[in-house]
Amino acid sequence: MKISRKILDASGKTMTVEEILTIEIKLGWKKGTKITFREKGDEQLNVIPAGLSNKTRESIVHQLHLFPMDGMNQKVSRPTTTLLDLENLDSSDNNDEEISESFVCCVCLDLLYKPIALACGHISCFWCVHEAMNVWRESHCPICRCPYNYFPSICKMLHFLLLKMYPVAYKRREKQVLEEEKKTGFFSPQIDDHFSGSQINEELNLLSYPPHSSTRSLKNIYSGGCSVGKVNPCRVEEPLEFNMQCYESSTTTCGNSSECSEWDTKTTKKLAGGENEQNWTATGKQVSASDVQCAACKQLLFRPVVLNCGHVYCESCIAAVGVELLRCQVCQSIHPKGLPQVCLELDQFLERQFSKEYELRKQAVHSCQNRNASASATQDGKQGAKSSFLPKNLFFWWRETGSKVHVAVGCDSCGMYPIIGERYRCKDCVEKIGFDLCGECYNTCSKLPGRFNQQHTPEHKFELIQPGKMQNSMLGVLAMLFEGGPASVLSSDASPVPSPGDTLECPEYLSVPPIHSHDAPENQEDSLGPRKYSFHHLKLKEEKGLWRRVGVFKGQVAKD
Amino acid sequence: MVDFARVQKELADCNRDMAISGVSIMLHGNGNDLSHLSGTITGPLATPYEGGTFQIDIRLPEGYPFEPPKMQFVTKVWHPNISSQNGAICLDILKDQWSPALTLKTALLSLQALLSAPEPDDPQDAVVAQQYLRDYQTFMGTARYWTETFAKRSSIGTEEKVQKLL
Repeated sequence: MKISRKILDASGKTMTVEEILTIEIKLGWKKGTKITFREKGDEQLNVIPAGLSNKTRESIVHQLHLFPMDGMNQKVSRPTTTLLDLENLDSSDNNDEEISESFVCCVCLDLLYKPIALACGHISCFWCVHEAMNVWRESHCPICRCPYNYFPSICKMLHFLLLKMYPVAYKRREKQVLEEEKKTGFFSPQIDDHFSGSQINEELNLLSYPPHSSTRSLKNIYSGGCSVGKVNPCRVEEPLEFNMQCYESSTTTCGNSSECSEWDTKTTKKLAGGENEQNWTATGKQVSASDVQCAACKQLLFRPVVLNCGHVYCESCIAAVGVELLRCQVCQSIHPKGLPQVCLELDQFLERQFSKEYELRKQAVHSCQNRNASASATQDGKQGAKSSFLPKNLFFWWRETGSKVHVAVGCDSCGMYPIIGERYRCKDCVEKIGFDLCGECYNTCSKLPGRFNQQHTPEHKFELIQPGKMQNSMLGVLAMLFEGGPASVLSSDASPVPSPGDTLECPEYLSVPPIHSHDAPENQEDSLGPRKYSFHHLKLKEEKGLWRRVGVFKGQVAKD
Repeated sequence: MVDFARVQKELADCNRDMAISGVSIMLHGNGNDLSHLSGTITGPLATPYEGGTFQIDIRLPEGYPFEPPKMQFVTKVWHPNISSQNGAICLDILKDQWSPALTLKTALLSLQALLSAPEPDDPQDAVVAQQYLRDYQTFMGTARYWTETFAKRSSIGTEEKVQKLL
């Protein structure tokens, strides 16, 4: 049977395509049986890849259903529902597993992919967090608007947990994101699941190492995983006293294969000996408590907190450390800005999934806390102090940071975004996304290979980059327009005196003051600064990536 | 590039419980452009907008959901935060307070909330705001009259349209 139907292309236009559908007549079908071809209806409207059915024996009477068919291909049709019955859209879109709401990204409304937990405990996908970040100044959590300055690393524990729980949906997401990435040319870090025979867990327990001493092996905690990775397996000399699970991400490409396989066997042997032996398979096994254990106490997570580096701890385990500077015990990276908030979605999931173990852990932690009642009191005080970060208006912020903002450039080690202060750019990284470090990370030697999939190695050379003068003078001009007189701006120290070439742009910004006038034509005389401008995210055409995505004023966009 | 997968999900989610929430979204004018939508909200009870159905034109910018959707009332409304001339809306979440975790549905629900709680101190339409502050009774009367005149007729119109489509 030949049909023609309308489909939507990516831009939303309709095209008509012709397809031939074959019907296998099976025994036992009665006259009038309707056959539905899932998602073969016209694509249009808010709608519905509808189902197309026809009645057998009654020649070709097409009947369009205005609802999507879920489940089986052949199915007795349901009464036609209203145009707006879109209920089954999700399920017809993909035959995924049912995804718990805890693991739906608040931004893309799909299963979390390469999840990142912000300091406030809210989780989003890697690209969703990145896209939502502000290129000029501190960003805010999409859900609670809690401010943050650092782009956190992917939480690998959660990544593998999701992969295990929803293998089909997660693979679909992987494919989908990879396609997007190919389009843009910017790739998220590859998390290799090479070790599918054993539990996947990239924890690298380096407690036996003095901080900063062995940056070489630390460098390889995770790598780009692409074809040219020069990753050596970590030469960690068996800190056996720790229940150590060390995984190397891209051993497939490692140069020294003998070392690599030796490593492999060592790890698997150790795991096999452990009581939590795992048989991780892509088909998705039941999640066990060892998939969700604390990086410090190695027990089931209780009130989990995720650090900036993506490692997960019990709140009590982190609080117990109680030092001024919160440093991850696994990767030694510093967690900026105090204790993170408990990741409630994950906590609730744990409580549901492992109610018995969770209850035990709860009691254990409570009894422990009762003993240290006084200690916890001081910690509460600390928590209070942490949240008192006040958003400042643009002008004061600009005054404070001076001209040191590297707009839309982030540090690949600590994740500071945008970099404020010194910026070092790697001269040897060829990836479109580039590789940059902030002054502090440059001086302390970066331990991580990059926030994206850069193949950065320690041999690479860096150069010191000055902040974009034009961008900063734009900021200055904005601050001046919305806040004070020109004198205050020009007198602020280190104010970039724009070079002649740069200044060309400035007067145009001055001449378009009511910048978002076309969405709100009248009565917009209210507040200052941030409300007055809005950014249009544009990728700089040459060399610059999403990471460097620059907010451009609408005035300029319109002009272009 | 608008995230159309998300928009599809949002539409499905919004229209699932439209009877309860009183908000719904359709494609604009039966077209097939997912970046131009048309939302409907019912006037909240115990307000001069009660019984009215208000149409809102929704345009999704390229950066959606990282940029706010552009919303404008198509139905004329007498409200301090909505322009009586062109339907422009003064609502922070549609401007700088937008967050990608918000959806079209939550934005429409916020508009519904705005109808029941006007903010005359941050007006969009100065004339209406003046009237609201100085002569509340007249304001209520005008708002009710506008609802009767514009929001009820158009609601019949949409129903008819839906009927025709079925």
